[in-house]
Amino acid sequence: MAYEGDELLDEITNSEYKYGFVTNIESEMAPKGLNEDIIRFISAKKNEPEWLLTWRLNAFRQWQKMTEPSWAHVDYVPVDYQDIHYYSAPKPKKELSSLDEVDPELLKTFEKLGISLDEQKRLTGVAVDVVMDSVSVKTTFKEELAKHGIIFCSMSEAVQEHPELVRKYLGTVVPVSDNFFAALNSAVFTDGSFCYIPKGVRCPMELSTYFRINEAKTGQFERTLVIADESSYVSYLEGCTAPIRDEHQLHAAVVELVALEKAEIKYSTVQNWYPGDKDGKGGIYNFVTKRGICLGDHSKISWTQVETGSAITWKYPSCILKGNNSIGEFYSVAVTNNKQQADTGTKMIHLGKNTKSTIVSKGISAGYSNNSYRGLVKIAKGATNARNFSQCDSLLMSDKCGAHTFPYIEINDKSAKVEHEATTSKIGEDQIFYCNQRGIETEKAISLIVNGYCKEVLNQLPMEFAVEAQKLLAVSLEGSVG
Amino acid sequence: MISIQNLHANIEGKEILRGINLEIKAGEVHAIMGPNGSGKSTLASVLAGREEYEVTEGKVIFNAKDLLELSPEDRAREGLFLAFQYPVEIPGVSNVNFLKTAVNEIRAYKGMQPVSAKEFLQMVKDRSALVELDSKLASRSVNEGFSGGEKKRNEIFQMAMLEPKFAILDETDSGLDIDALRIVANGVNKLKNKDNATLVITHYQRLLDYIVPDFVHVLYKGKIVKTGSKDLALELEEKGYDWIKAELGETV
Amino acid sequence: METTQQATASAFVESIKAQFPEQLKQSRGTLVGNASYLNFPTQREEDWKYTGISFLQKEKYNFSRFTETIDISAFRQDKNAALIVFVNGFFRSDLSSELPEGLQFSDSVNHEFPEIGERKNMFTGISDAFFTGGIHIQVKKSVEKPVEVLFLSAGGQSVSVVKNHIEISKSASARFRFLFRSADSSSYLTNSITTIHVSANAQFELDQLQFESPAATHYNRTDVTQHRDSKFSINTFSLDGKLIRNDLNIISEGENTETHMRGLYMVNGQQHVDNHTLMDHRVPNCYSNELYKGVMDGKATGVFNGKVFVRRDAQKINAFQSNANVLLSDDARINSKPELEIYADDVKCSHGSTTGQMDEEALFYLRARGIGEESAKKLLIRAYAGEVLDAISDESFRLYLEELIDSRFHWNNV
Repeated sequence: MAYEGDELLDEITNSEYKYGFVTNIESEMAPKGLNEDIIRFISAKKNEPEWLLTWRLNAFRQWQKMTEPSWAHVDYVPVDYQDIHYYSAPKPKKELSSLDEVDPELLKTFEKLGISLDEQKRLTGVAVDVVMDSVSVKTTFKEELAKHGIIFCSMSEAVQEHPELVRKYLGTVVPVSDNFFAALNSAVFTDGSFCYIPKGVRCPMELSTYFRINEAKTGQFERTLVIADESSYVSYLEGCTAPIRDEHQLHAAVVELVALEKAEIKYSTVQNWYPGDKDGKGGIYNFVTKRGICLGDHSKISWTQVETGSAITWKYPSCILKGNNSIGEFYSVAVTNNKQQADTGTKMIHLGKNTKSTIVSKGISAGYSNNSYRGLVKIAKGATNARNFSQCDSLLMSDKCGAHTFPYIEINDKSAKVEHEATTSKIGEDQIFYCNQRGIETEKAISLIVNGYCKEVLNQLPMEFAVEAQKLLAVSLEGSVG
Repeated sequence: MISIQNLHANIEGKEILRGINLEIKAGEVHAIMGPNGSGKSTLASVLAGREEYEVTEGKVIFNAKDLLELSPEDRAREGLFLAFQYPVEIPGVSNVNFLKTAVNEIRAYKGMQPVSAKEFLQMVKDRSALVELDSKLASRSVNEGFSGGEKKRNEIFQMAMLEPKFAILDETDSGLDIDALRIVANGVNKLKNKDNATLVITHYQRLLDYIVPDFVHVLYKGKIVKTGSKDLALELEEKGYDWIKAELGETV
Repeated sequence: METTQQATASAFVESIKAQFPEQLKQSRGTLVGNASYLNFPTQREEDWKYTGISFLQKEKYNFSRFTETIDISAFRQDKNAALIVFVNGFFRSDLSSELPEGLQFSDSVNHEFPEIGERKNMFTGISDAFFTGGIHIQVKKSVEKPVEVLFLSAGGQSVSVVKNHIEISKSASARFRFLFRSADSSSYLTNSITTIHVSANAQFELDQLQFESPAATHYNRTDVTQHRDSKFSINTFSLDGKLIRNDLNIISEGENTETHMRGLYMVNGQQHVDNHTLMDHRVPNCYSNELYKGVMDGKATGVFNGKVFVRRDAQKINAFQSNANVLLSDDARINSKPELEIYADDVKCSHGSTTGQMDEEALFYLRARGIGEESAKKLLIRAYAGEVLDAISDESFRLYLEELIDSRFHWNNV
């Protein structure tokens, strides 16, 4: 072939993480460690009602009884849960009334992240909520959305302003005792986004949250709750970055989606947390629980994710298809390079009649990484005429990486039709050669081929994100063919 | 031979057939034409006994028997044949095995002895020639890997093998080029005699150039709205279905 | 929790231990004592997630040499094949036939075996300590005639613990058939472990038929090691039994090996069949193909867990795996878990799993051609099973299986 493998490998391992800067903003932190007092501190800091504190403490007690899951195909130094700050907030100089008053350092951060909270975004019509470390710092377009009756704000604000909605739905999709990380999150979550789309409303713009971990030795535990009332529609985007730090940082988020009758939620993620360096030093542990429930008939939840960052990803955005004729979708691209490890996939739980689910997962492993698809398709008895189609493909870019597929298929109803297909192969050398022969250099060719390979998933992303995701893929894989 | 009286049928609660009346006598060829969604294929399916359809009213007398009381296989054994619009692929079941089972079950129903292997093979040879079907296809799985034209010819070949009294050709012309169409039509014509009858369901007139009908019926919104000679088909070809709609007083 | 489990585990193994013939205890040394530490598998373990065997704890089984006369002609398939017979796990030379030249056979009870190392469980531990017989065979040169090994259970509440070892010498070939049958419809336990070495350039085909008592429990494990240029095929037909668990582990240790794994499981009533397979590709340039098909009727459950494992630097592997299932009744269930774990990049691996009902369109098409519903279903099931059956090289055995399959389902009740 027309290029030197080593050279290219070198290039990729040296290609820098673009978002690895640290913002110098004064912040307010809780002391390290986790105990009931810390939880009380967080709750008091956020001026929470008594029921929420009780809820948190209950979660904490459950968490203490649980053990960290070990079934995932990942390997890491255990997290010391007492060595983390569970609360860190950029210290506001004073109450903010307009963007002009936002800390200029913070604004610079957003610019570096490619998020400007001003006119630019207004033109593209994306409403943004930004969560830095633990606290939501700014939500744009609130008034505009309010005209439609849409609530889009930080979780802290929602607790104050719309306690009835929060109380009604919080923890209904992901119960506190669901798993180790969900319980931890329930105990210590500090902020996140909250979104409610009223009956019959089609949200006029994309809603978006940017998450950023900034401080050292902090964990990020955000909690997102999206409720789409009857016949409503919302498309929700989330992006994540973190600075380069030598130690691992923990991100244990919980996302809950509720779709009522005929409602549709489209949830897209571009996850680009700091992946660690080429030797696996540093990087985010991304242990996230995301789940949606199609509660009403004819409702639909669609997850799309592009996972390129994090040292370790443990994440299974899932759908509970409870309503009749409800639809669940999962589209995923997961790229791992160097020493990254990803164990990701989905669960489709079919409970209602005539429910349909589609799973498309594209894994790409390079370097010394391990990339696993893990999924469950469960058809409950009585969920008649359920349909599932799963396609899980893995692409290998080096002889030192691993690509794995672990699908679980449990069928308890004879009318179900379930098909699962998976393939594992190397990136086509003949395809690369064909491109070379047409004058396209290898790196460009790989980028082309990989983008083509992921097309089905990328097509699901809103335009703006798709472009970003394509660039990210190219960066993550630059020269990674060995 | 067959008498369809005030036939109403639903699928998933939606009424498709809304009172069909049709008498077909031995030796006759009838054609049913109509726009998409008028209920043509539903009529074929209901007559053959497809279970998704619910007959809500009316009756069908075939060979002095209540057709709607019979299972799909007993309808076939009584001599009703449906050439499917979309013939089904059955991997792992060879054409020969399939046909032999069918022929012998029909013979058993009539109290006849099973056909001998030699006789059967001769039948296969003769009748596949009728539709110019390569007899090699006989050893392949039913319809698997057949081209569109081969599938339709295979339907007529099966018709030749089973010798039905009453054959329904459901859009047998769809997806056929002119040569295949001629072959299929020739096959049908050769099988025609004074004791059997044929119902041709089609969207286009072109098949009727080859299989000449005695009567042409126009099906619209689940009812036969017009009946005429083969000239009606030509008229439809020329003027389209809007003409019928206009005649029915509908705004087009 | 843990301690009570330990106690029940021991109780089950202890009851077997108590029954174990005194004269054999000596030769097993410490293995007998070690058996007391075996853990009873629970559904909390990933390997037993879908297969519950706690009912075994209530059973009492005996080692019993069945001495009554038995007419075995009904259980063997091929009157011309060489025959080796075990009844309740004990070798019966009186019922066995002369063996063809090229085979060196002895009852495995006279041999010592290394302890099962990898993927141990309670059943492998039981067999290590308590086996009472089995075939110990070396195929020194190619044998044309198929070799039938009949494992018959009789008399009720028996436990058969057998350990088999088959070695195919370099460039030799052979075809074996394991028939697991029952003389009556009683409850019993079969625990059979087979290790197979396929030497360089050798060929071996093993067909297994599990057509047992509807009250039978069967743990069956086969560990295969393949050396360079060898070919190995295994076809497993699980047609009757209360609970059948087949663990199949194949290691490809030499380059250019070819491996075929096929299975057909057809269950009814409350039956449960679990097939766990592992194809471990340790070296480059090999081919493996796996096809398991299941038909579940009544309240039966099928489990399939197949894993293809390609180790680092085992390049140029072509590995395919496919699992298909048909559910015939409202209460039938299937749990399928096809896995790929791949550490080499220049490979072509794929798997697929499909589940559905019997093809309604095809059924209607057949009926519309005058074929009765029962015959039509039979025809479709046989066509469905055909893909697995076609792989059997022995024509007469295939026809025999077809008959068994036809008789297996009472279509009137479907």
